Amino acid sequence: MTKDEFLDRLGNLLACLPADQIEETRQFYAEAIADRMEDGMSEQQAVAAMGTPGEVAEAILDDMPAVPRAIAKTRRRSTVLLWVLVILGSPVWLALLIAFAAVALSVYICIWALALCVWVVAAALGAVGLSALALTTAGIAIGNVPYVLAMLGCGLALIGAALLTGAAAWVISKQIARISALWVKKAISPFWKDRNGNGGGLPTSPFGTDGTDGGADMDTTTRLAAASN
Amino acid sequence: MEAQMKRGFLEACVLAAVSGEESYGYQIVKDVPASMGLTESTLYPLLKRLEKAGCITARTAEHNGRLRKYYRITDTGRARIGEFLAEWPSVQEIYAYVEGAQS
Repeated sequence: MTKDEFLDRLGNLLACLPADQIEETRQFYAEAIADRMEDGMSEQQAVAAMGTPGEVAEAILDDMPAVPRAIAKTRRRSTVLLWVLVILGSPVWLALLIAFAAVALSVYICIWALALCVWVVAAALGAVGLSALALTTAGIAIGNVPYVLAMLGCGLALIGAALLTGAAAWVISKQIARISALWVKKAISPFWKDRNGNGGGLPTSPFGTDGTDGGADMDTTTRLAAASN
Repeated sequence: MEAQMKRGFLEACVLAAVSGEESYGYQIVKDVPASMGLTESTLYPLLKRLEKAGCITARTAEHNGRLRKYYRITDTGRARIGEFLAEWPSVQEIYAYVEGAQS
């Protein structure tokens, strides 16, 4: 195979990608082949060293998130097939997508409702504590010392409890907000890769953890552990 | 070599290959130890990933009447190499444990 044949075949196999990406890929492989030929290889040898155009295209498409990859690979076989699958499959994928979104939304609401409960308990404790303090002043007005002491004690204890519960509610809300941000990242990961953050690209550890899942999972668990402490 | 581990090693190797003077595709393929089995089809997505993550920068320059892309490491990339090297003691510990369990 000549260099031009190789590049043309590669370009055809990547036709599902944006034009600038195809051009960039062609330039990279044109450079690699030219460099090998400069190093003394024949054109045939240099092209053979790249592997088949199919393998090269596969390596590029494999680096994409799951959903665009599936679309690109189907489209590579035939654009008609892609649309036939999208339309005929719509009762399945549309229903699944809606169900997925609905479940995610209800879980999300339930979790926030839980946090709201803690806030309500804190507010109730605070309100009762304040009423007890108000009753203390009433006790002072009629001069009933044991009643004043009892109400003052109850009021302070309740307000203390309200402050503690409020602090807990604040921490819980913050954690939920943080975890839901991670969930959003995870939920969109099949469609779009975050190259800079934890969402994808480089693994945090050089020895593994595919950034997309491992990193986010680890974060969630550490944070959940921290929250439960 | 296990795939995930190889990925980490490859990234470190490519970063190391552009950490001195700037380098280009074929030079990187030649520089990286042969045991990694690095080829252009692996290198290309890897370079793009590293560039997007801000670990390397690229510039295009003319060479023998054609264009060639040169890559150079950034501070982020150096930090990444530092992280890789910092893992070594724990790798040694694991190696010693696995080796010790054989005797």
